[in-house]
This record gives sequence, structure tokens and C-alpha cells, in this order.
Amino acid sequence: MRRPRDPGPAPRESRNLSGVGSGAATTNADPRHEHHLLLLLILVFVCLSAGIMTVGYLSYRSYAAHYRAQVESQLSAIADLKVAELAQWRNERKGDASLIFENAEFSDLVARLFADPADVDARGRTQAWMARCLTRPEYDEVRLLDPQGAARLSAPPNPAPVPVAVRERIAEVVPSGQVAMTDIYRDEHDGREHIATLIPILDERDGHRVIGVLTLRTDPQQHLFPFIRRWPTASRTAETLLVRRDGRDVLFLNELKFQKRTALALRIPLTRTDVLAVKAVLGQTGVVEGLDYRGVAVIGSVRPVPGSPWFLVARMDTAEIFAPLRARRGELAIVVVALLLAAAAGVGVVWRRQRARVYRERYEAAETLQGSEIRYRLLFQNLTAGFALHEVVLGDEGKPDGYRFLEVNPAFEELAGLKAVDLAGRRVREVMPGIEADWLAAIGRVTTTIDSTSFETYSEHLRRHYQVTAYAPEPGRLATILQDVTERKQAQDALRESADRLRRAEALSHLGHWSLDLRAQRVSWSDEAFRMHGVAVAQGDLARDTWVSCVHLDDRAHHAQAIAEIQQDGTGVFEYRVLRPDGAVRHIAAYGELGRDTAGDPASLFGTVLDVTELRQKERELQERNDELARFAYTVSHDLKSPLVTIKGFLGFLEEDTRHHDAARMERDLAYIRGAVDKMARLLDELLELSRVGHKMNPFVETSLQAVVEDAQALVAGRIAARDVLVRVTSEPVLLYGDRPRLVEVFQNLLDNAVKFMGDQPAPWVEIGVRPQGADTVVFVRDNGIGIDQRHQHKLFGLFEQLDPAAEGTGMGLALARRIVEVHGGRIRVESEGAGKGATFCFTLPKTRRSPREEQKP
Amino acid sequence: MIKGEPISILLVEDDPAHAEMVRRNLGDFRVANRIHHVADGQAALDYLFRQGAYADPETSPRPHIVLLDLRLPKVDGQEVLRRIKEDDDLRRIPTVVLTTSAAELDMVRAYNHGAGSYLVKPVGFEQFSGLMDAFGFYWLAWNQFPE
Repeated sequence: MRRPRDPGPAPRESRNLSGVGSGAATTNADPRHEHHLLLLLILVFVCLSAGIMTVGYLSYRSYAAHYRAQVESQLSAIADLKVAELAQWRNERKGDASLIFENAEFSDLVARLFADPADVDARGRTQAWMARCLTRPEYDEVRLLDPQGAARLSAPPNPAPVPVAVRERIAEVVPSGQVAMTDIYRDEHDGREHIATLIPILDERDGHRVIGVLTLRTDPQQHLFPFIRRWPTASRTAETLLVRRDGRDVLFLNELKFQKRTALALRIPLTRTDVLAVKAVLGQTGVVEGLDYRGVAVIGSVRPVPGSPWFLVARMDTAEIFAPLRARRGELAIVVVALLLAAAAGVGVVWRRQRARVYRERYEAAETLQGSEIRYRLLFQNLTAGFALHEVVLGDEGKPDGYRFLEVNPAFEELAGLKAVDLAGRRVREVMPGIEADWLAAIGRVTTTIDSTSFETYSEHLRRHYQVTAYAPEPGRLATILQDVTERKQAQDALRESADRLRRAEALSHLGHWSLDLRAQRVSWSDEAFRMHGVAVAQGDLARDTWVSCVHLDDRAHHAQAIAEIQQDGTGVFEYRVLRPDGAVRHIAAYGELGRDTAGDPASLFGTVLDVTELRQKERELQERNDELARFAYTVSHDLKSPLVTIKGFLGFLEEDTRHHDAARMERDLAYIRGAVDKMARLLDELLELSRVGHKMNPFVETSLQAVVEDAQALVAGRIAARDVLVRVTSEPVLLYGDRPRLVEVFQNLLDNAVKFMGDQPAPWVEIGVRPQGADTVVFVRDNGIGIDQRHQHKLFGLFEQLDPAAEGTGMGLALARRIVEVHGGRIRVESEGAGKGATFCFTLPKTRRSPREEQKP
Repeated sequence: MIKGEPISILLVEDDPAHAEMVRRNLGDFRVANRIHHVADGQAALDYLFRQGAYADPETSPRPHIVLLDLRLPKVDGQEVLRRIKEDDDLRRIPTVVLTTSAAELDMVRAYNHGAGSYLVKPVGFEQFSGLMDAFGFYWLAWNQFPE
């Protein structure tokens, strides 16, 4: 299952590994999302459309209403105008009539005429009057009628009888005696329409009795209809109608635009209430909608003409009225449609862009994924840790039962010692039978409960240590990362061992190490350094002050200065004393070295500390010994030289004296020479003895005090007897431990010394005994001799220090005694109250003990 | 000698043989003098400070010069020297160190303490005599002493 090194198409199992190819899973490619978006866009479009249409409709309606209002007002205005004109015209007729009405002169004339038709004068004057009326263009005929309605006079002369309409009207006018107008009537004699103004002639003398009627006839075609017909605006269908009620019909009074010969002819029954003329006659006023005489929908303004039975209809075809509206509607519709289209387009664009974005994202994700896949592949191939992808094999109950290899990287092949081709598709336990069950169990937990796990394990089979990390990249899969940590473990173990060895080495040699962080002023110690300073071993570092607080007060300044010097010089050595909590004082020798940081500035000090207390002690002792040796050499050379001077000197004297034959002097000279030689000899012997003490020793034995003293006494017996000294020895059983012959020498020298310095003590004695001193037992040799001057006591044990030069001896006895005692690890000193008060020499020997046992003779 | 009065010398020497040698050299020769010998440092101080056995000026005349060995019992020669030179009265007495020690340290200390001269006892009869002669000549013949 080895994949080629160049990355192929993204395999499914690697896409979902954490962090790899994650782009694909999180974009808007989700179809549900797309669907939502589509719905949203549609909704938006619908809303927009509704909005646009609503707005369009509303704007149209408002426009229409406005327009209509305009039209209506226009119509009303025209109607009003017409009505006013008609009313005016009628008033003018009435006004004309007033010239004649109740004109007494004319009335007289008429009365004369009617009384006497042959009255030429009256006739003539009446005709003149009538002719004058005719001068007005409105009148085409003037007639004088009697109250019955018969014509008496006509101008222009007209033989025709009076039309019925007129006669009927006269019948109404005569009783009222008021000027009136006829309606538009058709004269049956000439078949034409006329309208007349009737003026009753009143006889004033006769109680206003109507004696005649004057009619002024007008041709409505000429003088009335034009009024009506005139329309202020250019309009194709607009016209004004004049109508009156006639019985059960509406009678049209004027000539109409769209129908000929309608004047006084066209009738529409009042049942046709949808007709405007009917509506007018029926009493409606204002702007009404309906049909006109043609049956065409019209809108008109209807009004009665005051003072007349007429009704005026100013109307226009609805079609004409609303033609502009329609045009407008058309425009609006176009706009609306355009807007809708724009909205649709906009929505469409948005949708498209969305989709484009989705596709781009998908594309980018795919690219990223591709890139990720490439990177993943490279990583997979080049990872130094072994990587294996497994498929989880489920057993019964769906629990993980094992793992099947799907993919391994080259590093894994190396680690496991197996090839990928051999592993692919195989079960883990098949190819790696050495895997411990608990390793598998640990990994098993990963797939069921926890995210990832990491642990170290050792493979017996391969004899290597591994760090195993396992996690589940997706359900049903397991990824393991394997790292060979054998070297690391070995290094760790080696390091641990090395650290242990160091610690032990330090503990053995009482050598510790330290480092001081200069910036933080904190110091870190090895375990031994802790112990050395008397501080409990702890982890972590300490403040520098803690270190300083261990240092003896007197040495603190030096300690601080030494550290400062190391910072300057780079290295340094210094010593200081440590005062331990238990009160012990230890000498510490420290070495230090400066460490610099990467910038070259002093950063830290590193060094060692060594407990040199014993060493210094030994050095001190050695120094003392050396000093002693120097003194010794000095003394020896001096004291050996002295006898030589004597010998040489007296040899010379001897020569002289021999020449002078001075026997006495010769004798003396020889004596001096001999004495000097003897002295030299003795000196050399004792020197040799002294030098031997310390390294040519006999084995230590336990021996009784009394036995040793007895031997010593024997050696000094002669002098003791000569001076008659009493020697008393304690009978306490005391056991000394040491070099027996040398112990004898000690007592010999002390006895000898005591006896020599009895002076003129009449009853000389020497007492030898023991006394306790703290935990030790002190042996003393006491005498009642001349004692030792306090001023000279300190020189007593020095070499060749003879307090009395006259006394025999080399002066080395006490020095020898001291040397022997010190070699045994003891101390010797003298006590004397002064001259004449005797002296007591006391010394301690380690392991001296009082024994209840009987004395033992060695 | 110049003054005609016999010069007295205090010889401080612990070794009797050496004392004898000095006495014979200084006494036998032309140098007329009186030599008083003490054998340890304490005795020397007693003599000089007129104490103890040496209280009597008749028997213990004030010396004109002191010949001082350094290695002395009881009180060391250096200490004696120091004491002499500390004392207002005794410091006028010239003190010559005569010792077997040729050690530089001893020499320096002696001079520090105010020794007038430092002589090392030679090994050899003629040398020793020669030294004593020279000593006698210089100090006793030529050197002037105050009253």
C-alpha cells in the first residue's frame, strides 16, 4: 500500500486528521445553507416586488385621484361658467325686457292700439318701438300679442300664427304679470327652434291689467347654443348639454356634437338613470359619472340653471379624460416592471455572487486541502518518528479487538524492522507478536474513552525503548507515533548514574560544588556543600545571604571580597570558617571561576568547596613540627658548636701551656677538653634517642604504673640513694597503655630531674601517683625540691634548656619526656608555686585506666 | 686603661669552658681588667641592677662593658640585652654579644635590642685568641667610656 511520493488526490483518511485539510469541512458548501440563502433571496425579491408594485400602484392611484380631481374641478368650473353665462344671458334678456316692461308710454301705445287698431300713430309708434328692439342682434323678431296670445303686430312682419309653446307660456305669464322667458321651443310653422322673452304690457291705469304681451324672439342657434357649445379647452369629446325635463323624458335642448338634430328632439326616458342628463334632471348636482346620450361612459358636471327649467351638463368622455391617465399608467407599469426586473437582477446578482463565492471557497478549500495534503505527505515521509495508521477491528459487542495496518511511514518501517508492503492490511498481532498485551490495552483506551495517550515501553523483541503516542484521528481509526528513545533513556540513565557517582564522590571526599547566580544573588549547592555548611540538604537554590549566614562573622568581609575578586580576575581561591549550628567550626577552602553570559558579561560563578579543617589542623601541627625542627636544628648546631669551640680553644691553650711547661694548667686544659667531648657525645646520644621517639616505637601494651616506676627507679637508684630521697608510689591499680621502655624513660627523666633539683631540702621526697581530671587520669611526679621560678616555667621542656647550667645533664631529659608523652597522644606540664616550693610534673596518657584487677607484671 | 682605672667587664656566659677561655685571653694579655662572670641571664640582671647577691657595689662594680652570650639559662640573652638598653642608666654600657650563633635572625634581633657589636665565637684557638686580642685592643684600649 505504499503511496507514490508525489501527492495524489486527497485520500479520505488523511483529510480529517487533526489540522490537516480542515478547510473543506467548514465552508458554506453545505447545501442546506445554500437552500436557506436561496429562500432568503427569493423572500427579498418578493418583498422588493411587492414594495415596488405597491409603491407603483399607490403612486398611480394618487396621481389618478389627483388627475381626476383636476378634471372634476375643471368640469365643475366649466359648468359653473356656462351656468353663469346662461343665467347672465337670461338676465340680459330680462334686462332688455325691463326697458319695455312697465313702460307707461309703451303701455299707452299698446292700449291705444288695441283699443283702436286703426290708430296709425299708435301703430307707427309701436312699430318704431319694436324696430328699436330689433336693433339688438339677439332678437330676430318682435311680436305684440294680445293677452289671448293672438299676434297683433310683428316686426319683421310675420303672418304665421303664434306657436303653441309661446301661447302656452303666455297663458302662464299673463296672470303673473311678470316678465318671463319661454323655454326653447320649436315653431311648428317654420320647424325651427326659438326662444322668446315675454314681456307683459300692463295698463297701469287699469290696475295693472295685462293688456298685451310683447315677445322678443331669439334664435338659440345663434345666440345660445354657441355659449353652450364653447369649451375652453381643446377636447375631442367634451361638450356641454342643455336639457330639461319634459314629461317622463329628458329633452335635449341644444344641438349635440355627436348627434345631429337633437335640439328639442332627442329624448331619453327618465328611467335611464345612468345617463348624465337624466341624473341632472333628477336633481343630482356636481360631478357625476355615467353614460351620455350615446351610451358612452362619461364624467360630467351637472347643474341646474337657476331661474330656468334648464339643466346643464358639462361632460367629457371618460375615455378622453383618462387617456392621459392610461398613458401614465402605462408609463408607471413600465417603470414598475423595470424596477422589478432590476430587483430580480439584483437578487440574481447576489445569488450568483454567493454561489460564486461558494465555489471559490470550495476551490480554495480544495487547494488548501491539496496543499495540506502535500504537506502532510511530505511530513509523513520525512518524519523521523514512526507513524502508523490503523483500522480498528471490532470484536464482539463492538469492542476493539485489534488493529489492522493501513499506512506506515518510512521511519516506522525502520523502527519496526518491517516493510510497509508487509504490514499493509495485516493485523498488528500478526506481524508484531512481541507486543505486550498491556500496550494494546493502553492503546485500546484511546479509541473508546480518551483522546490520546502517551507512554514509554520496552520491547523485549527488539530490545529497544520506545515512546508511544496514540490517538484516534476519526472513529474507527487509530494513529500511533513511535519514537525510539533508547539512546535518550540510556543517556538519562548514564546521567543519573553520573550524578550519583558525583554525589558519592563528593560525600567521600567532603568536596562540594556551588554556583552563584550573580544577577539573582542566589546560590545552588551540591548535597555535600549543604552538609559542609551545616544546612539540611534541600532542593532548589538558596539566597546568597543564606550562605553568608553560615560563614563565621569575622570571615564574612573576606568572603564577600574574595567573591568580588573572582568576578574581576576570572578565578580565585579563598578560605573561610563556617560556624555550624552545633557550634563546630570548620575551615572551608573554596575555589571559584567566573562564568560569562552570551554577551560577555559576568553572569555566574562556579566553584568547589572543600572541608579542610583536618588538613589545616595537620598543617598547623606540621608547621609546629617544622618550627620545632628549625629550632631543633638551630639549637643543635649551636649546642654542638659550643663544645667544639671549647675543644679547639683549649687545645690551643694546651699547646701554650705545654710550651710553658705549666702542668697544672695543662691538666685543667685537658679536663675542659675531655668534658667538652663527653658533652658532645651525650648530646649526640640523646639527640638520636629523641629522634627515634615517634617512629621507632615498640608495640603498645598495657602495663601497671607501679611496674614502670619500679624500673625507672632502678635506673636512677644511685642518685636517689646519694641524695637520700624518699620515693613514694601510689598503690592504686593504674594501667598505663604504651611503649613500655619509653614509659620507663619518662619516669626515669622525671625522677632524675626531681632528685637533681632538691637543692638543700633536708627531707627530700618524690611522690608518684594519679588523680582524675575530668574524664582523664593524670599521672603526677611531685617533689619538694627547689621548685621552678614562675617566669621560667614555660621554657622548661625546651631542648637544651638547662635552668641550672652547673647541673649535669644535657637539658634534654624533660624534652625527651615530653616527646614521649606527646607521641602517646598525651600532654605534660609542670606546676610549681615558685622557688623553694617544689614542683609537680603531671601528664596524661590516653587509655590510662584504673583497674580493679590486680597488678600484672608484664 | 686610658684613664688608668682598671676596666671592669661583665662576662655573661653559661659554658664554664668558654668563660675560662675568655678569661684567659683577656686576663693573660696586656689588657689589664677585671672580669666578673655570671652564668645565667637572671644573675646578669641581678648584677646589673644591683640585686640579690650582687647588691654590693664593692664586690659587684658597675661594668664598663658587657660581654653577653645569647643562649643563657633562666633569662635569655636577648631579653637581658633588651632590659639593659631599656634602662636609662644602664643603656650607656656598651654591650657586645659573644655567641656561637651565626644566625642572621639572632644578629638582627640583637642589634634591634641595641647591641653595640656582634661577635661569633670562632672554632679554632688562634682565631679565638685573635678575636679576644682585637676585642681587647679596640674596646679596652681605644674606646672611650663615660664616667
